[in-house]
Amino acid sequence: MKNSLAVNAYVGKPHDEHWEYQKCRGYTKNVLVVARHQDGRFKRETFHLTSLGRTLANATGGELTVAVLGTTPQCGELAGFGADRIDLVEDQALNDYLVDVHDRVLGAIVKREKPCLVLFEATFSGRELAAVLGAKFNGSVASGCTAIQYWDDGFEVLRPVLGGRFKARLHLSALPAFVAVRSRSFPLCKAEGAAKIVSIPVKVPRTRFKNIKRETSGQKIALDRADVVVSGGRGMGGPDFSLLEALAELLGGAVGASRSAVDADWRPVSDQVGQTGLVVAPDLYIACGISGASQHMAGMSASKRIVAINKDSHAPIFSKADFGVKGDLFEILPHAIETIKRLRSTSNQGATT
Amino acid sequence: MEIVVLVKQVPDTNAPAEVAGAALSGEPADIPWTINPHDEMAVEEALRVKEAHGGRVTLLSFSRPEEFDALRIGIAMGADRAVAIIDELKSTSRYRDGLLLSRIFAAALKTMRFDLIIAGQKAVDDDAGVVGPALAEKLNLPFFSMVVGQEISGNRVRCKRLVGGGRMEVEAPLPALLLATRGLNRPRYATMPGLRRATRQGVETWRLRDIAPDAQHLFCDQPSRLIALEPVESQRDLTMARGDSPREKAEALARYLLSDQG
Ligand SMILES: Cc1cc2nc3c(=O)[nH]c(=O)nc-3n(C[C@H](O)[C@H](O)[C@H](O)COP(=O)(O)OP(=O)(O)OC[C@H]3O[C@@H](n4cnc5c(N)ncnc54)[C@H](O)[C@@H]3O)c2cc1C
Repeated sequence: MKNSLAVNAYVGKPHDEHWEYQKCRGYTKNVLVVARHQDGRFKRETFHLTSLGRTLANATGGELTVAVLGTTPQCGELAGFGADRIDLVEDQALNDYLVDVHDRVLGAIVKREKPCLVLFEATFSGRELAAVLGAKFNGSVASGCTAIQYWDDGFEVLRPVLGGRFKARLHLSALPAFVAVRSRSFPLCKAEGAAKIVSIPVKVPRTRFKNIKRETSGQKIALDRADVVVSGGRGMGGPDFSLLEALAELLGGAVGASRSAVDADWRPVSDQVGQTGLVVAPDLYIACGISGASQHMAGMSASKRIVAINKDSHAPIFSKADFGVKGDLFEILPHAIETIKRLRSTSNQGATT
Repeated sequence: MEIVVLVKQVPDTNAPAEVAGAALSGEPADIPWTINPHDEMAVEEALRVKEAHGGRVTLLSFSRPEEFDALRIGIAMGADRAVAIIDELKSTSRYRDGLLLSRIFAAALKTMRFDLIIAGQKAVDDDAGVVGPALAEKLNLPFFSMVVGQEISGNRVRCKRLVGGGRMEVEAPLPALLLATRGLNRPRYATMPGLRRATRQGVETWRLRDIAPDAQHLFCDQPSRLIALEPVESQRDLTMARGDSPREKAEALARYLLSDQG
């Protein structure tokens, strides 16, 4: 029940002394959510985050504001998940993320709104913004949280530590609390109402960085956002990952790798899943030719379903998987791909007749 | 070039779970320790900068004497000097709030000379990644996270960084702060003569009141506290694909992948 904390987020009456103290620092009971969008559309995670913000604002007894930076999509959509107000800073320069520009614009919004809690998604940018703003406002910070609860003297969060083998229960007493959450661990809550859209008069600062060059990776779906991840390890035997790419394509996922595969230069470092690589938590994780070392598990053990394909029945990965196939991946995968295509086409035919 | 590297000691990633857990909650346990892998890459990169541009590499840590091994490893790799700000905070837990640490490091760095600070992107024990960005904010430095390549020329540094969905190259003036991540380099090994030198040379220790006269006031409040450490039970029930031939197993796998629940 990983959502239980957030769902019954409010326990007890706000503790007046605590609020008195926070009020002398000027903070309100309001919650601020930082939205993300791309190509004119909000990320699905932003709706999850807004829903969570609504639950928590109900708990604190405050209002929910969503900060939207950049030239944007239909902000009204956010009202459907409980936003009371949308703070809009519409400037082309904010469409691409640069930490020093975004932190200052968000800083201006926090100064203005005085929220007791600011919620981010636990992406690279969300995590670092939470840290920078936490330092700026002498608040508190927690990243990668899977649960958050409001108490009368601050917020309490759960976050995985030690390679996901433990959850730390932390109490955040300094407000504002800047919390980056794994937003997909929280349910969507539909709401009715119209949010007030406010254009915030912030002058967008210039970045301190120069000569900025961006390169997008070949992957259509970013590894840390994918619902399905198909990873290959040393068992791939070489840089040809086309079988995994075909399976990922079929399931709408992205391709990852173990450190061994990265060390062998079969895959770029940005694909490494694990304790020293990316931490992913997709709905489905398929480990192909990966033994299941603890450092690898640290990066994917929070996945909803784990599938392992390995020719060694003693591979540790099997003891941490939901579904296992003992066999040679080069024999299994081509046929599995064909079968998926076949099953899909027959079920489609079934649907039309 | 004065380079400062932030270093943390963490439980060895191969430590059994209960032992590693005890390390964070502060209960006594016989723990295999190591240098945080991202910090090891930070040390390596600092040594490369020194080799290319001259200068000095200073390691900086907030730790107790029993956590000095990470500093010794850094010296054995080739760092010139190791400084530990002694942890006098009255917490029994090894959990340390990242914002508090950034305040402490900022106070220490204000008493030091530096052109470049390199830290690990995150520590693999608490997995927080707060110290680097927060320290840059406190010192008002440009910072580069997820760095997989750097090049210094004159008083500017140009970094290759991993960003969500790709890579990015940016440049900023020194002094700056870099956060090392995998892909930046392959750390060299600590050598035997290096380890002997580390033992001989030792670790310089500083007290909080040395770096900030108002230490008590600055550091008394922890923005966050560890209440409990809860083991995560991995409740997975393994089902093996049935069948004698790869074809049959593949068929079972395909059906499983297309099903919604496990
Ligand atoms: C400090 C530190 C940090 C680390 N960080 C990470 C990290 O972030 N991520 C990470 O992944 N690792 C990390 N590691 C490395 C980790 O300990 C393992 O070495 C690594 O995960 C092993 O990768 P692998 O499973 O691909 O390779 P192996 O352990 O070599 O396993 C290969 C597997 O493939 C199977 N196999 C071979 N051929 C086939 C075939 N044809 N069909 C099916 N199965 C086949 C074998 O049976 C075997 O189980 C770290 C290690 C250290 C010390």
